[in-house]
Order: sequence, then structure tokens, then C-alpha cells
Amino acid sequence: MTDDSFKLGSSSQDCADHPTLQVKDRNGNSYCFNCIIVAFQRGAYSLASRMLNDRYFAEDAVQESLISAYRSFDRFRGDNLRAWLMRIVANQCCDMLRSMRSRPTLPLDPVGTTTDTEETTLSVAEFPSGTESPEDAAMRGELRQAIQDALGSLVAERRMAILLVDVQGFSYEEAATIMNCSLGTVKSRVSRGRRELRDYLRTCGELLPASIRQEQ
Amino acid sequence: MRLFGRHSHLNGATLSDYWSGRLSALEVARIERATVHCALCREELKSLGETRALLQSLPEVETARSFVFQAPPIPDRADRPQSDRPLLMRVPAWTYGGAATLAVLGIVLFSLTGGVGIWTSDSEDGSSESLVLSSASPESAAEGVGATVKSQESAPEAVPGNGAPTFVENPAAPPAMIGAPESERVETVRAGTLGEESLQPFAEEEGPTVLSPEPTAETVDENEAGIEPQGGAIALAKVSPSTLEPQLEAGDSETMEDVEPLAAAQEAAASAVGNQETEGTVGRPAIKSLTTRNSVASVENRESMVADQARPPSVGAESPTANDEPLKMAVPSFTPTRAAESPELEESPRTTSSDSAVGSLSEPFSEPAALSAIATSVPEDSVVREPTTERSMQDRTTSSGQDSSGDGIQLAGGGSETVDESAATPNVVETEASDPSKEKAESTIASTELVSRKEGTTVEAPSEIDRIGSVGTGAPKESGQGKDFREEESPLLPAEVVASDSSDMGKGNEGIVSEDRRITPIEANQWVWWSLLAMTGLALLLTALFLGYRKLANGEDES
Repeated sequence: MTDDSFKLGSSSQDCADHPTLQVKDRNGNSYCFNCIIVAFQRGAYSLASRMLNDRYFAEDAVQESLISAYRSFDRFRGDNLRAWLMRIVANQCCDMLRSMRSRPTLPLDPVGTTTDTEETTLSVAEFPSGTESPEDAAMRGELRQAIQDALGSLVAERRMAILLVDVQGFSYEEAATIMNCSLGTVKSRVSRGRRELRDYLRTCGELLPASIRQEQ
Repeated sequence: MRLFGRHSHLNGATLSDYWSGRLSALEVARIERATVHCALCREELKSLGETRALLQSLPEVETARSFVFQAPPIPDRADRPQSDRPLLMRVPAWTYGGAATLAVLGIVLFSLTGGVGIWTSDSEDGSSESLVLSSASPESAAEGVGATVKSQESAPEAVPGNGAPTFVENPAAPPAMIGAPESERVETVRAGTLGEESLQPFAEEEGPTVLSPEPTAETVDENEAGIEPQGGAIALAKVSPSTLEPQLEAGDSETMEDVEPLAAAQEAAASAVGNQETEGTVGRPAIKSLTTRNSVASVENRESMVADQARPPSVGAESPTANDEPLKMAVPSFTPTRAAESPELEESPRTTSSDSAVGSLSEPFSEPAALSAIATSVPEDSVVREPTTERSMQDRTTSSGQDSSGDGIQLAGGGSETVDESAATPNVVETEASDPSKEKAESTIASTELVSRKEGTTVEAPSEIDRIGSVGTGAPKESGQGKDFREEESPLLPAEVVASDSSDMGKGNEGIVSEDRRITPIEANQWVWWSLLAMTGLALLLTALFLGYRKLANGEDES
């Protein structure tokens, strides 16, 4: 999906299921902000939830990020809308992590604290076909939780680099733009993050793939 | 990769970049060759690839709700137009910061510069170095006029005669009048404060009577009298009669005529005082002199000194002084500001004006110098105690029975009134008078001293040297093995005298002490401190209002 698809008047623009919210970038191009939200809210929420490891904080972070993006959309230069929006989300996540460190909180309900609650709680709907047995699905769910725990063990900068490059699929350049750092810094953070994740996942044993388990 | 026949393992960054697809074809080929020969590098590369695959296999987290805006978000406060903001919020933020800074600065300055001195009195520490302005009227206190207390002995000495010292009209007087080395008389003159034009309004004004036993309304406005209200340096000079006589003869005839009736009244008062002393009581003028308006006192002192000009220099006629040693004439014409300006006066709180009055014109006051001058000029055993001086001291000690510190007098019937010791200092100690009333008074004092010697309470008469010395040292004189002569005489003050004096004091006499008025530098600048305090409070109030309103506004926005 290109950024032009969000512009008002384009053929691919569809505002049938949401109200049209017109915003203009620095160049004067008009966009429907709700179309942008629909297109990127999953990725933004995924990034926020994996960064903050709490879905409620993630929802707040995404909400604040979208509001900030709406208010400051006139500063958008029109080059990379996804990276620009993810940068706002990443900054918001960093702010919330900083505030969480200064004011640590404990959730009243430990069940709902993890981001993969829906993923770990399997349902019949998640087995649409017979290609994956319930045991494999449970193993997959546990593996995702182990990966999330491994991500949580990383420092915020490396976690952000891993999420942007390996999970979100951004290039190093885009990750450098989002993280507001140099390309070499992104490379270093990604490399060290991967090795730390590998070392962490090796402790999980049976959840890992056979190649990793054999090394143990 | 082999280097000099030895394999060097691939680093993690290179292997990570291999999976990221960011290596060139040459580097990719080199890594593939290294992994063929090195099992460790091969496993390292494979594990990193599996980890990357696991991360990429993570699905996007489903959102619990949609973040689509149903309505445009509320614009930020910063984006609101200025007119939509309340009046208090339109003020720039730095204004409140500046107000807070000003408040802090004001508090710091207020505390560093001793602003608490506004509410504290110097008398609390018992030092009592601050001067007491004997003034009941607020306007006189506001004028900051120096406290000059009339001494009562000027009346009996106001006898016309020849060869008496004169006054120097202004500091710029000819050098022949000031500081004549051949002078044998020591006169204290306040330069530039007394002249013919300054004496005339004195006789016409109303105010408390000091000289007469009966209260006579004589008040002199100090400005009209030509007295400098503040900061006027007291000019002290040893004036030779030979140098003063020409001036007296030349220009002050009119002044002398004006003074003549007053001198006569003073003479009558002196006789009355002498009678009272003969009866062993302290005369009313002695008390009144302590409570007389300062300006009147100073002017009258000068008048009495002018009157002394006409008195023949019959020094030692009745005085036991064998020689013609000049006696000291001390004019307590000090001002409260002098205490703050002169460090000597501040350091010696009991320094009296008579101390400061002894000295030369241009020399700054020095207490040891003054005492030495007195000691050299007046033999201790040959000093005839001045009757009025004695009365003054009696009054002071009599009424200060509860004043253990000796700092002041508490006058009966007049409330808690404190008179500085310097205010009670007699201004003239001159025993050259030869008039009958003077002789009578002195003989009375001599007899009193004899009685005291017989009783053994006081071995030596408390001469002016003793008095000044005791005052200067700040400790009460311990003569007579523990008892002061003046303290012995304290019961001599009859109750009726006190009552009558207190009643006299209450009759519209502005000069009578009714309230302590301590003049301090801080008090002079009190309005500055009050305004600073008001500004500080205003700044704090504004800051508090701003912070409270801002918090309230934030709460509204969040809601």
C-alpha cells in the first residue's frame, strides 16, 4: 500500500466504514487520517504492545501517537508515511517506558498483562484446518510467549531495532529514521539483539526449533 | 577464513548482516567459504538465521479496538487561538517564572540583610547601644531629630558675666575661635546651631519648661532653632576667652539682650532648686530635665552658655579646686543618628553625650581621650560636685531603682518610660559661678557630701570624672565598698514630687517621654522593607494562582 492510496480523491481511497477526517501535509496534500489509521493501526499496536509488553499501555500509546500525528500532520513531508507514523509510536513508547521506570506499577490482573493473551488462549477458530494439531498450536503459542519474553529481556533500543527490522520488516535505513540514529547504530543493535535473543531462546529448550536445540 | 594458516571466526555483525541481505556478493562468498571449513561459524550463522526466522514468524498483534477517530481530536492548548484562552493564561510563561524568581530573590535579600530587625528591638539583647529619642510626639520622632536632653544645671549657671565663652555660629568660623591652643576653658559648642536668629524663635515658642519649677510652655521647633536634625557633627572646641570676647562684643549684643530675661528666670529657678536640695529632696526641674524635649534642651543649654559669657570668671571662689583648672562643660547635644554613624558610640553603649562633648572641634570623639582630658584638667579630689549634676544623677538613680542595668530611668506615673543615660547627662559642669544662688547650691552639695563621707557610703564625691568614667566603662561605680553614692540618695525622691512631675508630664507636653523610640537604620528604611515584603507576597500569590489554575486547566483537558 502506497501513501498515495490515503490521499483524498484517489481511486483506492475508501472511507465507507469510517468518517472522513481530512488532514494536510506540509506540501498541501490532503489525506484521510482515518484511512491511515485503519492501514497502520495493527502495526502500530503490535509495535507498542511488544515494546511495552502490556496491551493497555499499548492502546494508550497508540491512541496518543495517533492524536499527535493528527495534530502534527502538517509537518509530514510526504515521503514515508508508515515510517513517520511508526516513529511517533516509537517515541511514545519510549516516553511511556521512561515513565514506567520512574513510576513502576503492578497490574491488578496478571492475566491480562501479557500482549499475547489472545494468542496463548487458543480457540477453535484458530484451527481452521487440519494442518496443525492442537499440540503444535499450543507449542506455537508457548514459543511466541518465549520470544516475547526474550524480547522483554533486551534493552529498549535493541528491542526496538529488532522489532522494526525483523518483526515489522523495516529496512535498516527506515529503522534508523524511526529510531533517529545512524545506520551503523541500527546494525549494531540488530546484531547484538539477535545474538542475545538466540542465547535467551536456547534456555527454553524444547520450544525451540530442532536446529537450535541440537546446539544445546 | 584463514589468516596466515590460522582460521579467524566470523563476527556476529557480519553474520547478522548476511541474513539481512546487506552484504555484497564478495562478502557473501567469503562467508560461505568460511562456513564450509569452520563448523563453529556454520552453526553460528545457522542459529542466527533461525532466530531471525522466529522473529519474523511473530504475527501482528490484533488490536482490541479500532483507533479510528469518530470526530476530530480536540486541538492542543498550544494550538488554541489566544482569544480562547483565559486572561491569566495569556500571560507568557516567563512572566510567572520571573515573578517566582523575584519572590525568591526578595526573600533571600530580606533574610540576608537582616529584615527581621524591623520587628526586633535592640534593647532585647540588653546592650542598649541604640539611642533613645525622648519624644512622645510621632512627628518629632519622624523627624529623626537628635535627642538632646536639657540639663538643669544650666539655669543656676546662667549668670551674666564677663569673659564667658561664646558660641560658634557655624563650622566655618574663623580659626581664631576654634581650637585655640591657649584656651584654658573647655567649652563644648555645637557649631552652627546657635545664633541670634536661632535664639529668637525659642523664646516665642511653646514647650515644656525645664528651668523653672513651675511648668512654662516653651517649645522650640528645631528647624526654626537652626538645629540640624540629623547628622550634624557636634563641634567641640576649646575656646579661649580672649579669642571669644571680641566676637561676643562685636555681634551678639542683641542675643544677649534676648537671653537676659531667660537668664533671670533661670537664676530664680536655680535658687528654687537650691532650696529643694537643702531640704534633701530632688527638685522638680531635675526630673523634668530628663523628660524635656530635646530641642528645647539643647537650645536652652546654649542659652545658658550664652548667659555664662557675662559671668565673671571667678573660678574656685567656693570650689575646693586649688588652681584655676578649667572644668568641663559638656553639652549633650547628640543625635540618634550619630550613634549609628560613630562606631565608637556604638561600641560603648554607655558613652554619653558629655563624653562626646569633650574634645576638640575637628577631632573625632574618642572616649579615652575625653577621659584623659578630664583627668588632666580636673583633679579628682578637687572637683566640686555640681548641684544640678548631683540632682540629675539622683533623679536618675532614684527613679531607676528597678532599672538594674542603669540604662535608663523609669519615671513614675509616666508609664514605662526609659530614658537613655546619655539623656540624663548634665551638660555643663562649670563651677566658676560666683552668684549667690550658685554658692548656695554648691554649699548644699558640699554639705551633702560631707554627710555622705561621714556615713561612709561614699569616700569620694562622685565627680564628673567618676560619673563619666563609670558610664564609659559600662559598669556602675562601686564606690564606698559596694554602694553607690547615688543609690544612697535614691530614697530622697518624695512621692509627691514624682506625682506632681508625672502630672506635669501629662499636660500636653510633647517633649515628655511617653514611648521609647529607638531609631535604627533599618527603621529609617522601613518602608523599603515593607514594600519589598509586599512585592514578595504579591509575586508568591501570582505564582500560586498560576500554578493552581494551570493544574485545574490540565485536569479539565484530561477530563
